[in-house]
Amino acid sequence: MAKTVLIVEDNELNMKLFRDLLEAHGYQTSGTSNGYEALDLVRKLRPDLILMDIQLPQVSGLEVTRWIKDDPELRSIPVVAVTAFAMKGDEERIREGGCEAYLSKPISVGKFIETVRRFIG
Amino acid sequence: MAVSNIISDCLDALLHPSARYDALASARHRAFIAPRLLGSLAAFAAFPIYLAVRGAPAALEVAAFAWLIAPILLSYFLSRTGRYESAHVLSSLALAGLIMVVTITTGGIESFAAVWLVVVPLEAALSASRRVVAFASALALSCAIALIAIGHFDMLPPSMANAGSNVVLMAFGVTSATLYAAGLAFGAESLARISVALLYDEEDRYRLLARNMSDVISRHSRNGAVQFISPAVETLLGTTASRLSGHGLFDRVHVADRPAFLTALSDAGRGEARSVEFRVRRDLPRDERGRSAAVDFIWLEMRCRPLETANGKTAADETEVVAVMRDVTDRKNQEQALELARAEAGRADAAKSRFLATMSHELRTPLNAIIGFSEMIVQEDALMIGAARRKEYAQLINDSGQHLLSVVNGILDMSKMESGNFEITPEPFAPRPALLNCCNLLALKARDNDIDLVTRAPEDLPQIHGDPRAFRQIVLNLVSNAIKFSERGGTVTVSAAVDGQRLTLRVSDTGVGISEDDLKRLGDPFFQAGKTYQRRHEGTGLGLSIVKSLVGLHGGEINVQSRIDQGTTVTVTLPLASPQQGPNNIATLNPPSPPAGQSQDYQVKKSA
Repeated sequence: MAKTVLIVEDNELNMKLFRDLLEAHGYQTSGTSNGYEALDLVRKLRPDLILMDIQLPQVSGLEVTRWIKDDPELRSIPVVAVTAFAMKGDEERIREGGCEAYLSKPISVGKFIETVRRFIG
Repeated sequence: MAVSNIISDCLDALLHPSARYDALASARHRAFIAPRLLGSLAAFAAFPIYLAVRGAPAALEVAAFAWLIAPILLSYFLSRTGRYESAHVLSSLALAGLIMVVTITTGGIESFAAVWLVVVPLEAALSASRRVVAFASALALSCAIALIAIGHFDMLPPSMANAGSNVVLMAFGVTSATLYAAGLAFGAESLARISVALLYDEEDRYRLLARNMSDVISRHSRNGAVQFISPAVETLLGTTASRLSGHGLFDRVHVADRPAFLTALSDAGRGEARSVEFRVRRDLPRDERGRSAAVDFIWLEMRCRPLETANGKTAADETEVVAVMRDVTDRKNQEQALELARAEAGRADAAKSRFLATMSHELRTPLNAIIGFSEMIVQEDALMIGAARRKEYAQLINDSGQHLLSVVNGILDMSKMESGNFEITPEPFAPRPALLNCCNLLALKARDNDIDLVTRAPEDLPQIHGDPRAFRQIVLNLVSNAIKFSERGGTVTVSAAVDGQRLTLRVSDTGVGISEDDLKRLGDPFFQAGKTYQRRHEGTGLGLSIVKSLVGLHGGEINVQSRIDQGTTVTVTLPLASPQQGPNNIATLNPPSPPAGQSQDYQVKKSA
């Protein structure tokens, strides 16, 4: 059965890019641009991997990650941050926030897929 | 006069170095040396006359004259050693010895010379030393007792004076003793005068010091009450020293600084030197109606330590404190200015970092789509992308490129404004069509977001003189902001009206509102209210900062009023007439100070 990836991303074009890329590699995708909705979806769908944008409307991706990591049932789902915050210190701060991996935008397609594979094969 | 000067110079040369620079000591030494030298020299001068009158002298007479060398030796002793008290003791001994020898050989206590014993303690009085006086008195007394005892036990040698000359000798003895005592009295009086004069000199010197020193010296009791404060405080605090005594000074100390003030004094009272800085109220010159002007505080630095009492120790229970105070207001002001400048520099630095981080973020977001989709097209075979998909991706890349271009243009506009290279071209134009046109452009966006866009512009809106391109940009930025920051179902109202010689443009929304803290920073480039990682709205944060500069360029004003969750109203007023030519024509991020009477220009008002 195909693995499911939840994409949390508020930019429509980037959302489409990630969906198309993942689907082309045989993953099932689900997406939202809203952090609160993301948490509901994680609970409902139990995805195998979460791609998390950090700058989101209303609530930041870091906050959503913290909620997920604070929940014993959801903690094991890996969260990969995919963000345009690529200044010095951003990666450390985001990893400290609980994300298992960090990808800066603009992504390299090869590295992106490789990272996804590392977590869910 | 010349002779006395020569004698004076000779005397000065004889003074011991230790007495040369102390006025009182040198006066005493002179008073010791001068009469002894002069007396001895006079006696030597008189010796030949004596010989001529008396004929060959008896052994005793020779001895007596030889004894007159003693004062010269004493003067030499003082001149060499500077030991004033010892010199006096030796002098008393020499005098008493001479008197004893003369008295014993001329009839004991009944001798004409016995009265001279009185002179011994008198001479010692000049030493100004209690010990020397006590010694001399005891010496004279014991000499007198010895003479009586010798007489009583009949041990006197036969008197050398014959009975006939007794009366003459007695007259000589009393007269000479009286004269010498008188000389001593004059010497004592002159010494006293000198010491009083010196005291006055000293006092004058201290008064000069106290009057001309800007530092204030004060004496406090342990509880901080002022017992003495030097007059320098009057220029410092504008009030008299007497009004500061007791708790007068404490009452003027700034309430916030009172604990530190009292702690320092009480610590100093316990023996530890302390330094403290505090504010003190100063009396300003009163105006015509006799009322004093606004309250004014100055910073004083006070160093205080326990007051040493005369015997060099601090009394254990009654410790007083001596303090030196100095006006450090200028230094304090400089420190504060420096601190402000440092904070300002820190803020500017943080703003710059934020600017760069946001710029990086805003450029990377569209670049992600551009690079990602183009890479997918490159790998079209592997990813099995058909022609339709390829075309779709090309369109997405184009859209992202357009967005990227708008970000870059915004940044360029900003940097042009920052460097002062952004110019406007004022011309007469009708604001109403421009306004309606802008609103039409944004109507679609408003409908997409389910927002009611209401435009209220009267038909008779007059022409204004300004840059129509800039006007459109102002309206577009403000209205798109209002739409962006409104919840679904909200309303954005755009209204224009003429108020005197100014056009008022008001854009209100029912959106999220802006917190008070964020209001202050609103209009900083790239700044968008809310937390960094929690941006809920698209955009570069450049819009309002550009609007601010453009409005400033037209000599207008911008006000933002907002309440969290209740919406925001941005009011822009532009002059109907042409904006002034000159430096105002160039926009900068920090517009020049507005002319007087328009101090509210560019200033963001807080919500009521």
